[in-house]
Amino acid sequence: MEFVTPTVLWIPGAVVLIGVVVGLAAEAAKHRALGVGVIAVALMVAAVVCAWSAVKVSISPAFGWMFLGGGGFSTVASVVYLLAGLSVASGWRRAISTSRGGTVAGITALSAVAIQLLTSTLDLLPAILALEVVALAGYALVSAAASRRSDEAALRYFVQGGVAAGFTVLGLAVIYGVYGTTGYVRLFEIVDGGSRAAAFGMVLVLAAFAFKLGAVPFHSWAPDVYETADASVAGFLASAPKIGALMALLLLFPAGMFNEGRFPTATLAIAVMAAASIILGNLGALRQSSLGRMLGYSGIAQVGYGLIGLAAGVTGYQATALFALTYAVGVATAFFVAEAVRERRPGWDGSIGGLSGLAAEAPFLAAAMVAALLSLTGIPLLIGFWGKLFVFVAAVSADLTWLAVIGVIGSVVSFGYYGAVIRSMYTRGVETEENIPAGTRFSGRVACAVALVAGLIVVVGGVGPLIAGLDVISRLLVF
Amino acid sequence: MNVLLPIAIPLTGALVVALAGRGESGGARRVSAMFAFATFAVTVYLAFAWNAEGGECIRWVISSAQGLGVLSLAVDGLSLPLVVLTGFLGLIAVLTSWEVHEHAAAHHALLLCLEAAVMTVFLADNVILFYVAWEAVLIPMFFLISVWGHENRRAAAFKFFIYTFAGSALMLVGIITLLVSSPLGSLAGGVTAISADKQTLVFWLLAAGLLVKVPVVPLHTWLPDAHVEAPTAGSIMLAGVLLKMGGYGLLRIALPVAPDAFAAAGPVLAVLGGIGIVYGAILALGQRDLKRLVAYSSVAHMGFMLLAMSTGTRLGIGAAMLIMVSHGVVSGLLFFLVGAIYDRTHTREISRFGGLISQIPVWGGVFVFGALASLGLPGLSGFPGELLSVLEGFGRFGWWIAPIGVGVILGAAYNLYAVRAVAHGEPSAEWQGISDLGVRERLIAASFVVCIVGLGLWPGTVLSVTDAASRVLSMALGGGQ
Repeated sequence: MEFVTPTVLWIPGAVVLIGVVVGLAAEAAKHRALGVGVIAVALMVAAVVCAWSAVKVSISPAFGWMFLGGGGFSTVASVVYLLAGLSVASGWRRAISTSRGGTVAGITALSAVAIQLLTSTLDLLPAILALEVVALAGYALVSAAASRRSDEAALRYFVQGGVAAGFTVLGLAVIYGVYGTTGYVRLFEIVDGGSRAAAFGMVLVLAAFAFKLGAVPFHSWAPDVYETADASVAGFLASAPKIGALMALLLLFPAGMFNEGRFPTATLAIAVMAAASIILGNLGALRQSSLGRMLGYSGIAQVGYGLIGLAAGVTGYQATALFALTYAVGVATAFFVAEAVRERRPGWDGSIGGLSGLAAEAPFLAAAMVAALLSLTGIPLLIGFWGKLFVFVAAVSADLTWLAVIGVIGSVVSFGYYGAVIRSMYTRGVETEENIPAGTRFSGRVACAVALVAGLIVVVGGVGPLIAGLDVISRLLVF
Repeated sequence: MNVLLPIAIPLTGALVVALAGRGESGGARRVSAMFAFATFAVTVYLAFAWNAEGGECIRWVISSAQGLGVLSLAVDGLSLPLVVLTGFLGLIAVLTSWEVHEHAAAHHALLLCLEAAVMTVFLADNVILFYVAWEAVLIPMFFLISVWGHENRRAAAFKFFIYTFAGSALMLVGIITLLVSSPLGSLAGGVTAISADKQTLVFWLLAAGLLVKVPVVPLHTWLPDAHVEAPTAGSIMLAGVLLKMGGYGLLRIALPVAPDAFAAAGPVLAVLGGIGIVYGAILALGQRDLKRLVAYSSVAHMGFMLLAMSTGTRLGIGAAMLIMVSHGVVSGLLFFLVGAIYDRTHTREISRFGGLISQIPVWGGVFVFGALASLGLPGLSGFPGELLSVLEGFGRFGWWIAPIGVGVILGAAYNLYAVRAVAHGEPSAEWQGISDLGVRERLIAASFVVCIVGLGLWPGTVLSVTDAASRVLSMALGGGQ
């Protein structure tokens, strides 16, 4: 086992990278379905290996000191690979029928590897490189939708992201210039809260990650991106990168070099960002008629809850990670259902009203959407409840009851727009006859199956801890 | 294991009905009736088992969980009457939805889910499970209203969800404050008060969620819409057991963890109860829609419950429990009758009825009986609880409770007004030849009548079950007895 332990931690990433190379090669050799399939399978294998090491391997460095694996880090990576794999599978029909298919799958997989690195590296340099890879992958994935609006959204996303990247590099330069190192362990020993340069670097790094999170005030790109990207792709973009950014912030802030003891104002700033994100995200989401835009604005509100956990400091460490995972699973499920709906109703304009009659037409698909939306609202028996509960417990423990109160009020408001989708699905809609295009029935079913599997995860994750005991959460998320 | 059965059976039933009952409605309703009957039988068995064990609390904890096992259940004198009530009304709800043909399997599955969720609320032995079940109740109820309800069902379902969710979100903050300040303890384990400085905050946060459900007057506006728009089975469950969750939560959680705050809040609760009694009766009197009238009468009855509870005495708490059980049965009967007449006439407008007792004598007779039970006629179930409530209220608050007399008179007024306008008077030609209650409906009505008379003649059955628990709670409030 001495040999297995460090190896098993970097194997998932390697499997995915090899899968991408093989997959793209197969695609180049005109075996498109095979290529996309290889990439999806590689991602699933990676997810399984990570899940195994989450239970079996305690936290240890991997690939030299490149990143940490095992314990909670592997749990997080497992969910990231799972979501990437589901996203690739969900876009199956488009992937095998358009020329960009293999590329989209490949970029998604690369992005997943970068996110694993981002969530677990102990050095600012790889962290920022990984962040930029995730961002670049994001621009590419959005523009892959190949509509005029998606090109516009991708361009805006790119320009705003460029500014954020500038912050990032500047922050890195400041920290390296002052301290001569980028390793967290060394920085943790020498960073001084009184230093203005360190504070400046801290603000820049925080801004860069907040942009990736889509937290207020760096949020304006999110709704456009989610609306215009293909739903299967949006399912990945809305979920996994947020896990990455939140986990990276966890390594830097509550227990890391920018901890509360040294930078008390940072905690305040995060708390204010959390409150502002919840309030503005909710207000924005209430007015939307497009499902993707609504999920975009609601995503802004949702990252606010992650930031609550972050503001709660070390107490909120586990809660923040749990919330990131549960939110990601919920929002990804919603998008996967949207993708499956698109397969069934090619003429769907992406609006919430356009979902009417879905419950009668496809009851299980509608049920998966209900599970996803109620999970995002934070209703018990669904996975999202545990994330929000833990975050609120952390906030109250850290004397941030006011944030918890804003959070629960935000949850109530959120039912206004999540519930509107449910309402629409359960109204009698226009009578649609079998409008699944001939010849794509099987591939349409893949998207549907992905949506149902994701919905099942939402429910099992919600009920499981009741039966297995809450300890299961703390056992899976050891940091 | 016995304690798990009242949850497991309806849940299994829901699964079976949902998976096997698609297609024709006959199979679905028969299967769900079987499961609902088994659930009711188990709750009755549980009552006997509890009695045989000398009234000790019966617990059950899932064995697979390590450490923080959330799934722990308990039944004691406080929860037992409500568990039996839920079993009874769960069966009735399935029987009343016999004629639901639209997505019958889904309807019955949701009803059984709802029953399981409510059972879990009453049986939960820790606050996390309590909250989980409390919110889980919303999901089936939301769909029951929004899919099978009447004209404005979607808006009503939405309002119901948002109101109760808003209340319970504040309750969640209270529960979290509780979790942070003390370890996760057993709810049925007696009184475990938290430190005095946090009691007021925790109490009012919890009360925010609980009082919306009761409901208390400024927070009651979701109730008439939800009741009126819900299908009959939904109304029966809503009025019969869902409203009891609020009162039960006050006694099960809010009082034991914050007895000082509860005692201090006594006068406030009494005022809220008094407002409910008077205002609920006034609103009921002003209704033109029969179902709405019955719905508002719930506000008034729950006012009596709150008044009884606010006294904090042993008898007062017992009376609160008695009122809850009695109202569960009486409102169940009235909603069943309103549903039955709506099925025949497709209207609930009081002015369009008249002289029904001569046209459909069985329905008319039972309706008069139900209205009399609702106004608190001695010998029927409403009387002992509400009398005790007023007596105990007078003992605690003296003449301050005099305005409630107005409410009592108005209570008689709206019930008799309904009887006169609907059952008596000039028979309306419009409803010539409508059919009277059938065999299935007569059985339902008869079982209600038996319960109402039984509880009216022997209120001691409920009081003796709850007495041990009431004594512990009243002692925690500083009451000597």
